[in-house]
Amino acid sequence: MKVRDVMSTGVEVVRGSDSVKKAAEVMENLDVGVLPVADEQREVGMITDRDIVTRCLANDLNPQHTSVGEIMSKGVKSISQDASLDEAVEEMENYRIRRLLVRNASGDLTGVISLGDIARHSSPSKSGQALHEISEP
Amino acid sequence: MEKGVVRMEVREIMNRNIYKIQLSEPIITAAKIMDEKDVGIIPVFDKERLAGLITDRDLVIRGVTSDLDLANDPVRDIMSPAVVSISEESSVQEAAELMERKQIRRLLVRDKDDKVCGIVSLSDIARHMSKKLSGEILQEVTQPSVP
Repeated sequence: MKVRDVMSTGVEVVRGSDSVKKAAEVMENLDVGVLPVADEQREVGMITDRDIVTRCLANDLNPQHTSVGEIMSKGVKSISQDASLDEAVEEMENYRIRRLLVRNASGDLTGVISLGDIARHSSPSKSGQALHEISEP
Repeated sequence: MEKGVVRMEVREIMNRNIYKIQLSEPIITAAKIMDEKDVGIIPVFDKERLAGLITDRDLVIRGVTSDLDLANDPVRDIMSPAVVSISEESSVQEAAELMERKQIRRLLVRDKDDKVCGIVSLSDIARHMSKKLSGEILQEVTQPSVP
C-alpha cells in the first residue's frame, strides 16, 4: 500500500499573512486539524488546532489580529505519494513528527499523511477498528 | 482485548490528573489550562455538578471562529453539554466499545459515588492493548499531540 492510498486529499493551504481566525475557519469548514502554510512559492510551515490554543489563545493573542506566520511550526517535511507506508513511518520517526505533506512526481502538493492515517490501514483487529473510526482527523 | 487476558479495569489505566473549570469562567482560561497542563480536554462544572466538557478543538472551531469575546465570554457558550462517562470499575474493553459507539476518543470516569475521578483516552487504552495492534505505529500515534 502506498502513501497516496491512505493520505487525506483536498488539502487547503493558508498564507502566513492570514489571520489565525481565518485558519480556524478553514479548519472548521474542511473538518481538519492541520493546515499547510505557504508563502508565494512554496510551503513554509504547518499550523494545527492545538497550536491555535497553546500559542495564540493561551498567550492572550487576539486570533483576529495575529497572523498564522506568528504561531505556525516552521519547516515542513514532505514525501512522494508513491512512497510506501513503511517509508512514511520511517520519515516520521526520523523527524519525530506525526504528519508529512505529500507531493506528486512534479512536486505539487497533493495531500497530507498522518500517523493516524497509517494506523487506520495497518491493524486488522477489532480494537484496531475502534482506532480506525475514532482517529478520524 | 484477547480472550484469556486478565480483565483490566478502567481505573487501572485512567489518568487521575483532572483539571476542572467552572462554566462561568472566561473561555481564554480554558486555553491557558490546556497549555499549562498539557491537556486537550477539561470537564466543566457548575459548582459541584458536572455540566459539560470543553476540548482544544471546541476552542478553535466554536470559539475562534465565532464573534465571542474570548477574554470575557464564559466557557458555557462553547462547551459540549453532553458528557459520556463510564464507571471506574468497567472493563477497558467496555470503554473501547463505548468510544467506538459514540465516536469519541476520551471518556470521563466516575467513582462509586458518581464523582468524576479521572479521564480515560484512546491513547491510554492503546498503551495497554495487545501487540496485535501493530504496536510501534500505534504507540507513536497515541503520543500526546506534538505541535
